Amino acid sequence: MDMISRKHVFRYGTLLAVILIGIYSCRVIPETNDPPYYKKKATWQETMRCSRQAMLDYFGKPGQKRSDPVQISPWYLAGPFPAENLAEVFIPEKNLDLLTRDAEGRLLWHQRPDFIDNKLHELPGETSTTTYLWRKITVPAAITIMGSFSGKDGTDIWLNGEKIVHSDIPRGLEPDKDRAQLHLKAGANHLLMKIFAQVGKPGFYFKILPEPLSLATFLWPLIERDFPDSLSRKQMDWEKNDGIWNTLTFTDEITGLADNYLESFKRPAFALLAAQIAKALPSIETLSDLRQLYYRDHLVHETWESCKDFNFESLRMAIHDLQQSYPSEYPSGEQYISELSRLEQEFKPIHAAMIAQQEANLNENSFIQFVRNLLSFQRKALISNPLVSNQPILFIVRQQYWGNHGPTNTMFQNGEDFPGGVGGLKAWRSDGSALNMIAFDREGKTKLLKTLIKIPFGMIRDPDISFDGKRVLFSMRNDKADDYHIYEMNIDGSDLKQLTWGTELADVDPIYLPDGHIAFSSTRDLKYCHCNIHIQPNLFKMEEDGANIVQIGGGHLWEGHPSLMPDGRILYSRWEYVDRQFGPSYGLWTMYPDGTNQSLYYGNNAWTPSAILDGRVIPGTSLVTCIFSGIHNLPWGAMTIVDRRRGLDGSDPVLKIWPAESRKLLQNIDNVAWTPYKIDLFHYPVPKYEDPYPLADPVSGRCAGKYFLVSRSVGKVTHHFESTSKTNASYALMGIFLIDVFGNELLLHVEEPGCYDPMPVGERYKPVAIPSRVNYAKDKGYFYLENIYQGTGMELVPKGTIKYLRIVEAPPKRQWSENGRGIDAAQPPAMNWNVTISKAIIGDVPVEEDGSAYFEIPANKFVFFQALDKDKMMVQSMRSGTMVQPGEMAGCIGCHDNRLHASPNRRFSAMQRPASVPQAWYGPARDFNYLTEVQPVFDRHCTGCHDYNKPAGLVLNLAGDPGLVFNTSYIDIHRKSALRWFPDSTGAKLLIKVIHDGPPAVLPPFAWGSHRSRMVDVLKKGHKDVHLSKEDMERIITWIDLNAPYYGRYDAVYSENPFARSPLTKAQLKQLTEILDSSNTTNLPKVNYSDLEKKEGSQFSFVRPEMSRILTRINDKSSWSYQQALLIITAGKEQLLNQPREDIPGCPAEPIYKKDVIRNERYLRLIAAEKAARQAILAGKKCYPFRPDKQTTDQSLKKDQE
Amino acid sequence: MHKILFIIKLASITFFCIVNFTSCGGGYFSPVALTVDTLHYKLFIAGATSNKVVSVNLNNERIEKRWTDVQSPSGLALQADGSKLFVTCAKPEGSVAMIDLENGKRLSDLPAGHTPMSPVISPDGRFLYICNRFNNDVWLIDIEKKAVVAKIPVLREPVAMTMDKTGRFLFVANHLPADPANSGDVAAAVSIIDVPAKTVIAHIRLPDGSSSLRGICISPDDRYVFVTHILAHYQLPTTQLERGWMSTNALSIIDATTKKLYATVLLDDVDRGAANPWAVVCSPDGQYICVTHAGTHEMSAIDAPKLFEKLQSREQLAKAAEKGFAENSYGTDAVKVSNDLAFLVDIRRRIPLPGNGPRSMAFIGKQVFIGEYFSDRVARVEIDSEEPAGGTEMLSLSNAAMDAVRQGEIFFNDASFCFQNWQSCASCHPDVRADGLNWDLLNDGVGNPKNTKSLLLSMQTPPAMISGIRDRPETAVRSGLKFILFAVRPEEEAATIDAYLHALKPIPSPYLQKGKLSEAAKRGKKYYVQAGCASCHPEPLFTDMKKYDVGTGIKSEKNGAFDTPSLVEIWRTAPYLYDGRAAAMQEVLIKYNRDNKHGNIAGLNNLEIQDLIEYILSL
Repeated sequence: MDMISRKHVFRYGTLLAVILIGIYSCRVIPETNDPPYYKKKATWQETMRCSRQAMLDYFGKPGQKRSDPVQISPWYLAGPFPAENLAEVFIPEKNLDLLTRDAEGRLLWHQRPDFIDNKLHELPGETSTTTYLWRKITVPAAITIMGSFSGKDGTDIWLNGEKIVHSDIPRGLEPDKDRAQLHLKAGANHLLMKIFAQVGKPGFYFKILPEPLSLATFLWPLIERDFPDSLSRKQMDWEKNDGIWNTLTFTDEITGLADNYLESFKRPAFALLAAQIAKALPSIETLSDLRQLYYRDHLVHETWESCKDFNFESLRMAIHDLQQSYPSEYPSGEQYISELSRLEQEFKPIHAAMIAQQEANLNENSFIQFVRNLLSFQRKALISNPLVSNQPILFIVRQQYWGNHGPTNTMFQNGEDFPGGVGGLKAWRSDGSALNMIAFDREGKTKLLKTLIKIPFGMIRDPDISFDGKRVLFSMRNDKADDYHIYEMNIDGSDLKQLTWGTELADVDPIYLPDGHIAFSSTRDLKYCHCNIHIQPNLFKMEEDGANIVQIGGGHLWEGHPSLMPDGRILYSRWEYVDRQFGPSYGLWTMYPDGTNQSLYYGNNAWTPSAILDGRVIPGTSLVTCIFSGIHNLPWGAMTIVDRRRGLDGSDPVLKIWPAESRKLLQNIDNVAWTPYKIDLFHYPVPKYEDPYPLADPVSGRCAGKYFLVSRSVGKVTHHFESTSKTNASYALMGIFLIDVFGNELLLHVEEPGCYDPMPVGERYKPVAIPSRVNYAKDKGYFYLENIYQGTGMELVPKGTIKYLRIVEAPPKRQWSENGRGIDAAQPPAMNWNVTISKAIIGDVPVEEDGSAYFEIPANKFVFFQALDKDKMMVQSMRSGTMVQPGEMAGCIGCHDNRLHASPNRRFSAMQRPASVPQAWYGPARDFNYLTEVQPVFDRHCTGCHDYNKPAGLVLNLAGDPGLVFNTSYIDIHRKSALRWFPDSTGAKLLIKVIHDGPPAVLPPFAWGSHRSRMVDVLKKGHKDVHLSKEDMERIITWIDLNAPYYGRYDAVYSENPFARSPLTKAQLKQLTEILDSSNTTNLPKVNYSDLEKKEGSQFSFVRPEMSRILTRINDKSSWSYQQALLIITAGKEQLLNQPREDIPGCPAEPIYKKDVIRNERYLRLIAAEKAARQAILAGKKCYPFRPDKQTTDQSLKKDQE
Repeated sequence: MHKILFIIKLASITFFCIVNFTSCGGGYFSPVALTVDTLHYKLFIAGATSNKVVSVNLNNERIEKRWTDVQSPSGLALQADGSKLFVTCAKPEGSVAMIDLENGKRLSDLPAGHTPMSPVISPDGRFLYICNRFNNDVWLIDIEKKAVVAKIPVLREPVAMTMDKTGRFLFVANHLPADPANSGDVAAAVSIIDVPAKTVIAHIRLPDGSSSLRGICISPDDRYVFVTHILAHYQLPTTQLERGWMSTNALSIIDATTKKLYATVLLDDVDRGAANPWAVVCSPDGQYICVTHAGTHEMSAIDAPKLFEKLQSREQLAKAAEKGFAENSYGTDAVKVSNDLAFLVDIRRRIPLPGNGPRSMAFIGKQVFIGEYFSDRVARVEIDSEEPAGGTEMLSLSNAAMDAVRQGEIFFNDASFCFQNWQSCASCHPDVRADGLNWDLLNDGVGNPKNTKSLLLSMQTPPAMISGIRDRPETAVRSGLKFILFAVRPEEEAATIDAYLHALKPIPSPYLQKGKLSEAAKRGKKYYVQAGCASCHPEPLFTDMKKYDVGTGIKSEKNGAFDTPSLVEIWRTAPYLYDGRAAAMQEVLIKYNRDNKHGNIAGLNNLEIQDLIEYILSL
């Protein structure tokens, strides 16, 4: 019996042998490093058993009863305690002792064995209570595992006294909110969770990854290394899943194992047999019999699982379709249909028997054989699709990008040294990578599998095949020290050429253009995401040999995943968030290959999906296939077919989505509520899809929109933070799939560490090239607007209301700091109250009576428009951006026009006159900075009353004293308005109504801005004897309409200090906090500067230190504490005098901080290269930026210019 | 079964080709009109450039009979009983050939005017109605008596006509607008003739920008009339093509009962134009409205019930909006759908055709036959099949090798290489002439639109463009490909377009009498010299190819000099002057002739001026 079942196992193994040998993951580690308790035996099972025994002996104390050296105690609960906020400290936090009693002598801590792992638990408290949870984790040796936590709402978590999680926002109770590595030391470890319920009942969630923690956790990596064969691996997977080795009693291991096997049978018939065996006395032999039976059971079970949902109808539809579409090239269609019917008939009794759990009546052999036949028939019928079997398929072998921060950040490039290593260079790893080609015969068998190029320590990505099918472009990084560059080679792997050069930059995503150029995304325009510190690439273009690299994109943030549309345009994903939430702002956009006509294609105005990636037009159709993902996810997600003619957001345009149940995550744009948690909904659908490639007959376009190659996860998908078991994280093994709209998903090929970017090799349609209209001799372009009153909501604005368009640049973020501030999004460095971006007004242009406008704007600047009325008050703002290329004349219909409509045929008056030149806003275009642009108005008119120590100052303090991050008036105005925008078209106005990082939906006119701000009404009406000049009034109005910015630049001179803006160092601030907290006699909550600012206003004055509100926490002004605190604040004042901040008038907002200076030099190098390329194009020459052997070309160019 | 049919089809094509080679002698056939005999299951095809009409037996798909020496056949009409076939012969001195189908003999011709087209037979079979394109009128002809019963003037270049089942009304598509081009509302119209009253009872103006009307038909239930045309967005600068920035391609729907325009629906998709809509035919069961796209070589099959259902729901929304029930009236009323590029999603199938230049179409049951003008082929589409992959070639009419001129003509009409297929050269230059519209090209700045010029003699009269900005016409051809079609094209293609333009021949003026100047025109010829016209517009090209300021420049072009256009065929290229402000020659010489700088008519009286105009329009 043993022999037979082994044979089955072997057969089944080959049946599933699509999983090839893990070439990349079996690096040999010298065995001398193995721990002494590791005892390698002939089989992995014996190895595990013996090593566990050895471990117990090794860690057990001599003479003591053996006990499991890995132990996790139940949770203990203390509280709830009434609390005001998360920061408030209670006894359990000060003194962690399970025997602590309260004033009435009751124990504070209670054991809660019902709080089991991997489940959501409600806690006993109410709103405004704090609850503590504690448990002990004992391990024999140091190990790092991952903890997955959730706390509703505010959550602090400590491991052995060190805080590992801090989150202080209201949130629902969902699994997996926070992740943290648990660096367990040998022996006892203490895990303490603190949960503050801000709204409603508190709750929590906890899970260990990989779960559960046991002795085996320490042994699996060694055993997996030593028994890499697929049979052993299969068995290990089964036993791991069933936890065979985890929950042993250790009193009698053989019995324990036997019990565990017995409990893990899947099929009742086998379970019965097992029970028979188990009646015998436990021994190694009976254990072996039991184990073999267990494997048989699992094999039958798995075989059943692989076929029980077999969809005969889907397969029939696909065969039928192929037969219709390819009568001659798919000749066996009719035969397949009848074979399918035969198999279906044969399957019925098997299906019925298995459903009835009468598998004992089935012949195990023939069952497995049948399923094998069925699956290979399916494979044959689908692969003989001429679109699959007529040409080889190219694909990338690489690992998934590492645990990181969003789908844009996949480069981990040089020059990006992050603290902590999330997404920076430190996170780079590689298990090697390759560009492979596979081909199938009509039987579905692999007839060719060859490697075109393979590198052991680097990464290959993003291939694109030339139109004639003879060359392939890709991006490659040879190792960590290298940078991603674009390479090209013949499709047979010969004639490898490096096309791009340079260090501390990344060139990825190359595509061929019909005019012979190559487009790609690159970090050659140094910029970072505003809500974090990750570098962002834009789109560039170069000649076929790598010459003359010029930027064609240049958006606010990220542009990537370009693909060529059949009409010759570039379809790409773009991320930018002008005055809106960072999360839901990745849509599909189009541009001409010269960078002109940038316009929205699909998906920019709904909360979900938050990221739309990998867009490709399905040839011959108006459909696009793309990936719906989430902002904090890897570049994978749900795969879709989208018909944008049916709308630009929401569920209607999504014709098809895989997996189908993810459709419920889609959201229509009418929901403007501020629901940012939705941005990550697309984290959850499984399986994961990436790099869809639509198949269609290259000549006739037959079958377009029906069949796709795609990279898809095979088997289990772990959360993208779950990477503890392997140093090289592989979150899901990705294989190449053939999927169709009929419901078939066939795994074509899989190999470690994963397969990506499948695409057919061969000739493909070459679109007609679009002539370039860019003229690099110019530095500006033109924009015309047909009718500002045309478009969503603007029809409601009375004609003639709009008198000006304001052109505002949203400058890119070229610097970041290690410290920052956070309200809804992280701000490294701190920038504004609750929005991350800065602004620079370019100027105003007139709008004609008929709503038309025609004006020039500087080229290559990311700008947005605001519609202003006669008082230059904003009526509507774009909350997105656009740009023109040099010499471009771009047109748009109206404000937020309907992108599915042709422009109305209408004569408009702005075109009857020359283009308007933007009228500068009180001086040349510059970064808008609150202190220099707005505060002087308050200083002139308001601070006479609205100042410290004055009655009006208590109502509203408009003093200009710089504080820790912002100044007094800025914080006071904001905290007396609202943390974030909410819809209120009528009713009482807030002091100022700004959008902050608002919702993604297009909002109606007058939804925010000066028209909705009480401050403007008061000043216009006349407040006391204050009379503002037109300019002063406009300064306040404009500031509100620009979304109330504070800093103009991202260069932070106090990068290493708290919030990257504080003149006080961390040490100074800590010292001050200690002084304040120790002199806290009135039970005030602990000092938390951000919280205090939100509640009470600015806490510091670095002009008049004695005015600092923080000092009011000390009652006795003559006390030593007071004097010390004042001294520290005064030191801050002096520091600001020595090193002024950007909000000190006259301060140059230039890079001063060392890292900023270095980055700035890098930026200037890149700018110079771009300039040289543009000049070369004008001169009809070639320049190869940063290419070592072609510098002469640059030189000759320079000489020419001289 | 399928296989057998396929073999038969293949055999018939092969057979036909062999026969065809011997009989066609290498000339182009150019199928321009199709009509079907449902009783006898036959198809008749007129070949514009072959002087031929053929009949095809649809049972075996073979040509049964050919009638040669039918001069420039342009349209076909069949007696309901299949007894007689009428063929309009589109010559300056036109005629209607009449063929007795019982014996295949040609009978004596019926009379016709200049370039007769689109013959229609009255329900009782007694009368034939024809459009005389360049006489701008419709003739009612008594077939028996071979007599013209009435000549009813319509607006401009009637090219297509349809009639309701009662025979009461004729609906006539006027090819071009008759307005001054700078008026801000320029559109061609459909004229409705009350047949018993022999008068036009309405001119139904299409939306602003409607030009190049080509096809018209009435629904089988007589409720709606469909007309195909280009809807030019000529008021916008020509900065881009996408979203129909320049040309959209439209189907206008006229309510036959109320005699009002009901809606204009765009045939394009958001990212893909459907250029140069031409023939329109309803399926006999009323289920489909089919349109050929001569520029993109495809056919649209519109589901008629769904179309009207959607239009009616929009209409109701619009009405609700008017009453304030709906918050957002954006794009809701029937007329406003004329900008909606996604309106036909789910309602229409775009069916690719195998050949080039589908211009004619006919239905039998669920089968559509399409004449592919440039391929010299007839394609067939089974309209009801679930998902037609595309049309299949049914019949080849010639296998003549393409010469450069024909190739150039094909490129000129082809929108398939234009960015997103929105238009071809012919979209603004129908029949290589002009669409009657002003366009704001970027070659001379923006905000100064210019009237489209006819390209006749353009190669012989450099420079090109009214501003003369292109010193060589060849440059203008290449600029057109680059800046108007947004396409990088090989030089060889442009060269064939040059060759085609070179080969163009003028059409004799309808003002000539039997090919000669009328008496008035002869008098006018003297005044032509006397008024100084001849000095800048000298024979034989009627231009000296120089630029002059004739006092017409206004706004940014005040005191501007313009290229002197040739006056050959000036009778068909209204409106006049660089911005098309003059709808008629009268206005050029009188209304807009400031200080007599543009022709000294000071010494001429009204009658003499009329003579002068008669002469100019005779050129």
